[in-house]
Amino acid sequence: MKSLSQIQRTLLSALGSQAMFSLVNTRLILRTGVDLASIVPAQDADAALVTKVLTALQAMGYSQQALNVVAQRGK
Amino acid sequence: MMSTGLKSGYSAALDSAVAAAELGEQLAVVQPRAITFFCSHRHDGAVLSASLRQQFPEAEVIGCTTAGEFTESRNGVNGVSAMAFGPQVLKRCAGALVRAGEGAEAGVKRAAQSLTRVFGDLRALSPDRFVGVVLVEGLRMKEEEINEALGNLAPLISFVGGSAGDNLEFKRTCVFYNGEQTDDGAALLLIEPAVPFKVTKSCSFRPTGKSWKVTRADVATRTIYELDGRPIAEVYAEAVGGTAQTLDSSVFMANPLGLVIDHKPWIRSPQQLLADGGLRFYCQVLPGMEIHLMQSTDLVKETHQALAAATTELGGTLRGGLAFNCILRRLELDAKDLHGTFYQGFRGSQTAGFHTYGESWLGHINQTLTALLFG
Repeated sequence: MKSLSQIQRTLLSALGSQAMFSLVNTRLILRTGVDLASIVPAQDADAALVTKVLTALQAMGYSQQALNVVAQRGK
Repeated sequence: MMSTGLKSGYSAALDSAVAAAELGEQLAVVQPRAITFFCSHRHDGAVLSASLRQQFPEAEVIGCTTAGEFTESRNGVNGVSAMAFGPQVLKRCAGALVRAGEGAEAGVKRAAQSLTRVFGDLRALSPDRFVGVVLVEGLRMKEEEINEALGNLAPLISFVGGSAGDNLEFKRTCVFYNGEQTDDGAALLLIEPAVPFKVTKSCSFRPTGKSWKVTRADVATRTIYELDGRPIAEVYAEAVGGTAQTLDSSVFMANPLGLVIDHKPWIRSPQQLLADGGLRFYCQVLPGMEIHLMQSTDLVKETHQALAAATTELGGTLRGGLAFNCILRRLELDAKDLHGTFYQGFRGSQTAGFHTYGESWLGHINQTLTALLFG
């Protein structure tokens, strides 16, 4: 995944509800400063931020591999 | 009196064994499955914890020291408040003590095994059916690590709570579980309520419209050095209309900084200006974060509105709950003589809480009333 908006779509799809997305997103903001519900356009493809968010998600058990599976299903 | 399954208790006794006996008499009516207690640091919390467990062997008992204790009808700084959860409100529960001496993450993982034995895989639990309580030692600055570790194990489960206090002595705070204690860790309680529940966070601040990007910080010591590339003392003093020399705790308390998440403030309270020019906070702020200057609103009104809104969401009746109120808010209540009015928000419910050294919900926060409420 190469953009924050791609991560946002995939995570929302993987979690299945806006309420669950909000819980994980709040944890993400507190850990990384990145708000997936309000992505700054200039930061969307920032590779360092994308890596930071993916690392935080991985720590919470949402690995890039698992998210990719969800993304593939959505195609 | 008909039991609602929740029962608050309070003892002003200074002797811990006497306080435990008084609380036992008050709480017995609900046949407790879980008890949370919040005690003055002058009490022997291990004695309280062990005695409550002895009186109610079926109950999981967690607790911590405080910067003041309260229920819906009583409050003080040298007593004990407590909440008992009976089978009417609680289907299942499990408690654990986190010992963080060898690392917060390892300690949380080890403690979580006790929760897993009762509930199975924590990641599989629905946030609509399960909720946790976390009481964190309040002086070692491990709240973020402990909350993150909980988030890694159970990202969808809310663990709500506060940091233990010692009534502003800043020497030692403790947490307790079934007679055990630690001054480096946390007490956990995971519950499956039998009634509707809700986490609510009230914060009497709103963004002023002034915001900056954190450009230099020392995360481990919760210190910010630069905002937008300029020294923080200069930027902050300019924003609040003073100079670096006039920055003191009263300025910090009235003008905290904060994140804005989902249009709501998540306060980061300044603690002290350091000799090296850094501004230390009561919780972490990371480089790259956008941080807003906040202005205070009406603490009591905001709290009552938040409790009323939560009551409506719970179906119109507030059975009661646990309330974690920041010490800085207590100091404001002290200064404005507003304690009586403040606690009226809990009138008619069974509520127990304490004044904290920080609140926990998905992370570590400051200057809120964060509550776990039951309908």
